[in-house]
Amino acid sequence: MNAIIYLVVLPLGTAFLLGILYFFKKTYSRSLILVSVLLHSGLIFWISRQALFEPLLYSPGDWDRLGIFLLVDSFSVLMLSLTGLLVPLAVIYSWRWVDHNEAKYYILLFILTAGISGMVITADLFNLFVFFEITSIASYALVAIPKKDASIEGTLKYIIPGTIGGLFVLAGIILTYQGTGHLGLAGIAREFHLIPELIQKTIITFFVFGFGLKIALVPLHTWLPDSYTGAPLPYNVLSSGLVINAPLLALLRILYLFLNPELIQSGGITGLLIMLGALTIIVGHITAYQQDNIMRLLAYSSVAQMGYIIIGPALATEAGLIGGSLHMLNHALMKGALFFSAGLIIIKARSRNINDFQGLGSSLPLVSAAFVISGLAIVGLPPFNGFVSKLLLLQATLESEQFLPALIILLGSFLSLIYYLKIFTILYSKKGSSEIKKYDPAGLWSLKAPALLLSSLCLILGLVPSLPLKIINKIPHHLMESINFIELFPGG
Amino acid sequence: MLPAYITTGILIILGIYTILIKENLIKIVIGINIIESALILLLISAGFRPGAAAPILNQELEQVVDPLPQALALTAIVISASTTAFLLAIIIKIHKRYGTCSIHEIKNLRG
Repeated sequence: MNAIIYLVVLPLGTAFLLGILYFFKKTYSRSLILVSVLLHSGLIFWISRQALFEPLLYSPGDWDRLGIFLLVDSFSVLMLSLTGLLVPLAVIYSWRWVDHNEAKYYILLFILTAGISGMVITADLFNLFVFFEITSIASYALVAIPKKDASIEGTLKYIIPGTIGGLFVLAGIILTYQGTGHLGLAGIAREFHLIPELIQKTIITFFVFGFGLKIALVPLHTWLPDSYTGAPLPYNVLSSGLVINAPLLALLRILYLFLNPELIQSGGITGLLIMLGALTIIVGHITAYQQDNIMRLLAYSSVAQMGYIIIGPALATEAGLIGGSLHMLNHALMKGALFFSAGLIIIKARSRNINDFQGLGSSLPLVSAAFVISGLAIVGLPPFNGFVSKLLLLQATLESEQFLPALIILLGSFLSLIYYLKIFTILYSKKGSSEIKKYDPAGLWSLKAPALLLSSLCLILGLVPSLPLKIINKIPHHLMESINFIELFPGG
Repeated sequence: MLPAYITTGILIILGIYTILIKENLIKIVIGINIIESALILLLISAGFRPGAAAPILNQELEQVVDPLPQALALTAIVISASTTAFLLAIIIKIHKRYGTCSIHEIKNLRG
């Protein structure tokens, strides 16, 4: 299946081509961006449809058993389809939003897309690290694009923990190679249990810490809100939808394949990750409640949602994995809709403080409705998509007899209801002074359409949850039993 | 093998100490670089075999060291170089804006 490699080659090539094009002929750059992004989405759609029947494997260079494989299984399909959906929307939104360093912004955006696609489809530990660093460096640079004080500081706070996290991942990879002599995931999955137990534990700790920094699990989350305040808004959508989900996917692959689910449960990893997840939910929601800046509020809300997403797979049961994956998908859509509509509200209010949003509900009816729909979805009210995934997570925790996380999931939803309701009441309260309605950039459809599309998806996936579950129900097959994964590769 | 492990351990601890204790941003970058060097040393030692030749196979097969970690070390060096370059660029920006490289002073300036 040769086409898989183009998932990485296409955006990477576009990034370099774009650099040249900006130098010579600026006028064609936008059409190149649009064509490339749509081609990438089409490619993802085409590959995903085939990968749903049977995972696709490709070995660049035809090295057969020695090759470094690319694999598209249903877990990759989930993240790839999110990439194919969110990147075009972010690009359309960026037409109006990004006014500084436009050339560099789009180039970095394409490098980010290439990094994420590569990270999701690789079946090799060192390739994973390379794509992980490509994604990270592109994200650091994207945060710094607006050239404001906040963005430079946000970058600094992002890059130092991010680099340290990357180093721990590298240390884990080196120790794994030393122990097993393999870098392919299948080979490691076969021989990981031969490593002495103490070194196994060290490796897993390194991976959990390194990727945990990127996922923003609670003691390691402080970089995220600072980077969100300074970053361009379309990047924030990609960040909470893709950049923090892709390392999570990598971590889950590593945990499930290297250890088997029973070992995750008995070896204390379930306990550790559930504790971190519960802490993440509580701290994220409580700090989000205290924020006045809408960007920081949404950032802390993202932190809290990562807690939900990690609790499901941490249970190491099929139900937990399905619930967690569905929430990963739903959170990306909901947070995307929230950021996009919040951006329009910010333009209209000319302020990021939520107390300045008074009365905007009536002057921006469609956008505010999109904000409310996605807000209610993230709280977890029916009939929106957040309800379905939180229900699945709750069922999964109760099935595994983990009552404390179940309680915290419910409590977390309640806490998030409080602060989202606060914004809703401000939005729909009456404004005392008369409003100036001269400059109305909020009427632009390139900004409105992404917000409306994502929030309607929140409703649609809430009414028809079987649609995403068709993909997600196939995820556990290759993860729960590592033998199923190993058999995909030649010589396995 | 053991001396390589011990050196790696000492260097990593030294790097983490530098990152945690020093308040000058340049020194923090140096700390990160120390950890990176330690990991590259660990990589090279992972492929080491006593008495083996360098992995250049132009004659008949002989006992060579594992070439894979060396390829990985090259990649790791490239990544660490680009991260360092980016970090230093950001620090220049910070210094232009705040006139200082000290974390505490930057915090105080923000208020």
